[in-house]
Amino acid sequence: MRWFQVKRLLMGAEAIAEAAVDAGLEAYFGYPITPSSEIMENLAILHARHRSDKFKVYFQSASEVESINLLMGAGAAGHISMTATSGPGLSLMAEGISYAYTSEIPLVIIDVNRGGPGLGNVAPEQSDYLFVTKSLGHGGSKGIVLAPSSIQEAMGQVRMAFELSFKFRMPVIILTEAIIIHMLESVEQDHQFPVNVETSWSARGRKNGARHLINSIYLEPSEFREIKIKLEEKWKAVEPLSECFMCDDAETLFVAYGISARIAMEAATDLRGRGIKAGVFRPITLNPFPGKMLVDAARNSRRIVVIEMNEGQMVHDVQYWVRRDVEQIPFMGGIYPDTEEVLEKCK
Amino acid sequence: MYHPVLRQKWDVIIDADRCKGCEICVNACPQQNLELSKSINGLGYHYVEFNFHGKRGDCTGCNICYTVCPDYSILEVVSGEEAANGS
Amino acid sequence: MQIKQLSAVFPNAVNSYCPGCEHGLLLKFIAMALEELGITEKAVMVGSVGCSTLAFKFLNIDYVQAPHGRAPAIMTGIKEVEPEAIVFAVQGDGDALSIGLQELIYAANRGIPVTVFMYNNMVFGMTGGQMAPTTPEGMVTMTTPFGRNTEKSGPPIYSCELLSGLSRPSYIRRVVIAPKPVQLKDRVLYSSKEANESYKAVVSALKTQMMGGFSYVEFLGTCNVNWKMSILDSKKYAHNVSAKVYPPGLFRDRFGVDSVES
Repeated sequence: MRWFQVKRLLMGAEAIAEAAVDAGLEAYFGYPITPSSEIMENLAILHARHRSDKFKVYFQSASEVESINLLMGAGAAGHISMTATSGPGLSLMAEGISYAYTSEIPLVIIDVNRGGPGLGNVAPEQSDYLFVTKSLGHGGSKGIVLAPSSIQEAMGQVRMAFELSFKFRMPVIILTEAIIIHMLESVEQDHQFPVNVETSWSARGRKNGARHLINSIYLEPSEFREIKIKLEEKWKAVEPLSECFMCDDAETLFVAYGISARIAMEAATDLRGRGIKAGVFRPITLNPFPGKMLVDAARNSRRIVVIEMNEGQMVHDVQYWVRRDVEQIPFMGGIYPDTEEVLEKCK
Repeated sequence: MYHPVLRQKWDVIIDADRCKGCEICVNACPQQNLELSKSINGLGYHYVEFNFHGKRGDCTGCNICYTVCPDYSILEVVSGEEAANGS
Repeated sequence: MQIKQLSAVFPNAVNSYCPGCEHGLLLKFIAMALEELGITEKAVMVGSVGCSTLAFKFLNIDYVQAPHGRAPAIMTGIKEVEPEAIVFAVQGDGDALSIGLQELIYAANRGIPVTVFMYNNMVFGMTGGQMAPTTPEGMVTMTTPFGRNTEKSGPPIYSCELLSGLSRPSYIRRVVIAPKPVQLKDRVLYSSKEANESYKAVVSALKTQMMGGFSYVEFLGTCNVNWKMSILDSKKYAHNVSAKVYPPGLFRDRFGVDSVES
């Protein structure tokens, strides 16, 4: 039987919701927050319409603090669970993410960036970069961070996030911004089978076997050292991903992720038309950062320009890897990158 | 560390390794059949010991010591016939 | 001869509580109740933060560690995806009523079929005896060296009364778990009535969960170490002060699993 593919014009939130259910989402817990609420609203409709037999639980929580713990509960029981939130909500979830990392609980969080810090505004920014990649919870916890640059890619990454979260048993964050969630694009829907996950470790009752312990407390330092070494080795096995757009001979290399990367690609194409050899390096996983791939891509470049929608956060990572002067064009406060402005600065 | 099987009407099976010597069972026993030992266990506490013949009479098998023990140190109160005949 | 041991307890495990603390008694009752109801194999315990954290070293059942105060939310998550599992948490008064009050109220208000065993010893036990939301007026703790001033910190929180204001919880009960010391002519005799009542409450709460309702039991226990009393004095205090401030009783029993009247 051949799975048919259809092309549809979908809003980002709608596409992500459908992709999540098709990929085997079993439980959604969420608390509304602009600009992520549309994902939740769409999932409410899909749940009410019984789009999938597996999608049994849809739950509006009382706070983001409760959301992350509901996710941890469902994740600890070995079910694919997801939430969508935005910066202020993710701050509240940081506690649970830290526990989930040490307890090795799989969970997926879609973080729709908004302007920050504080309440900021609800316009698109990429201001959570440092938070999600460097300081996701206390005690050095971390999670795999994926950044899609199109709706089509976001749909694929939801499926990938479910697989990765169970393969490595750790939190996976899809870092996106209000543009991708709210814009409409033509997408192809792959009607594939739901993902298969391994759940023999999960706490559902010991069922006449050995009991399952989902735990994050190890009072004995020597024991905890072993656990931390194990977690660190697991982390090292996560493969970074990236995309190169006309990098090979690029003298001006833009480094950008998410929606900024698409704008950078447009600028690069434009610059090539004007005789400037430009290219774009786009990290797909922000954590682990594809540093070696970046060094490889930046071999021939004279200028490295980081374009991001914040005051300059990824630029530190880029600087760390390429170890030379890096320029940056920051777009702050919810203003998204303008091709003209990029071209102006790169002439 | 379990008690040897005594050929009497009732026996209280004590896991002395778990006992923390809180004396709740000692004070809860109506016949005063339980008392703290002179020696200490691995945790460093004087553990509880069972005497069939208490200060106020013989053990009646009332199970109170099992109910009140907070450390699950008193594992079981068994009748003597069961204790003697059981394999 | 073969010694019968509870299957939900590790054979050589020693619980982590101080001598005389009824927290261990509560864990034993849970193990006994799981055995009596035949649900050990599908039980999932959610551990909270506090003295109940290290229960996983004693109880041989599935265990999920929750962040401080979030056990009801974790239980909701597990119960939603695994309706067959028997999910319960042992929380302290600080965990359940201070940092985790919102999670507790929401789990109760939704009527999620889970069970919360709340051990109320009126102080923060594991951190060394600081003021808890349940500390009665005038009680001396590490953070209230001259006694709790309810003018500033407000009166203690009555959790059973609070949850009784919600319509969905099915079983709410408060019992004293500390044995009552009775002064005889020549010695002190501990009563076993409290322990038996507490065990019945544990069984009833789990039965209520099996029948599909939210159950909550508050146990008035002692913390002789942090109260800085002898074991005997702490038991007296639990009966003379705790039980007066927090009158025990059956607040709700929708399914009639408990015939005891308050």
